[in-house]
Amino acid sequence: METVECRNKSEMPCALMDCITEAVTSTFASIYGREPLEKDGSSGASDGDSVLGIISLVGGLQCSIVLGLPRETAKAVTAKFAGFEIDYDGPDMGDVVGELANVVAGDAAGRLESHGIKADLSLPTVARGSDVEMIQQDKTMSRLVHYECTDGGFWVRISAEARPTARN
Amino acid sequence: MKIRAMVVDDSRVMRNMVMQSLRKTRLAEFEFVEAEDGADALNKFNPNELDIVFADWNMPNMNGIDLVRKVRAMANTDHIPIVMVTSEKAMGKVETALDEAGANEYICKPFTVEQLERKLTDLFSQIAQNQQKASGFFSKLVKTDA
Repeated sequence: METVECRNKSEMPCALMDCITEAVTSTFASIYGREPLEKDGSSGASDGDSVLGIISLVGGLQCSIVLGLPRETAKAVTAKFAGFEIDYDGPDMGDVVGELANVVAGDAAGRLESHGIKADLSLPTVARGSDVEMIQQDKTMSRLVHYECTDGGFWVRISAEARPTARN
Repeated sequence: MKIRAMVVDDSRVMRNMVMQSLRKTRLAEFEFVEAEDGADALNKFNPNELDIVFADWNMPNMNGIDLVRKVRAMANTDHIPIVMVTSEKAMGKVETALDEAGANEYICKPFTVEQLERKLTDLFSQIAQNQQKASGFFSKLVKTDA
């Protein structure tokens, strides 16, 4: 899987980044009982089969979150989350990864609220494929964060409009 | 105690997750009615045959919060606790569900069986009291008839 480097990493609002990365950490800590480790951005890239949970936050800001789970991580994390084994190639994988994206975004929205930013969740979308390439658009800034949890690596891509403004 | 619970979620896996987690608690024995969204839940809703409702927030057709409002607008539903089981964590949403719409409890995903037990213990005591009152009422009716 190829990832495109962040072009405007320094412009990503700290509150947004913090809220989403804290939401990811908190969600996986709830599932595993321990926090995932944030890894250096370029290492641990997930080539091969992956499932992606995609969700947006809208309202006081425009932001999208992509949760990338390589096959083995996806199988392990979804089993932990749901409490039973989920077939990687079956339709249930979409349900669980979509819900996982929903949980991360819901947690982030709760944290953003404490910064005075009201954000609503879109319905999640889930994609499954091999060597999926994420392409950054010109008008967005994006940040890719890699994590390592007990059952393997995963990544989160956060994309936001260049100059978020309060709309609530 | 036997509990008749409705579980409302558009995801079959998530309904299973809630039902399995409830079965793992030591709160009660469960008999479940499943609904795929708020509209499906309303179609299947019978206040005389339900003890509690667990509803997701974000669902197509009719979301969980509209379901709560519609159930609370119906007669004779105050005794049925409605628990939101959702990933929506914003305090504004919690307040909307509990204070405005009339939900009784709010559980954020992901949750553990222990967290579920802690959140539901009081509600289940209330359900047990309701069941005792109802059985007392019916036994009086039977005696009166006799």
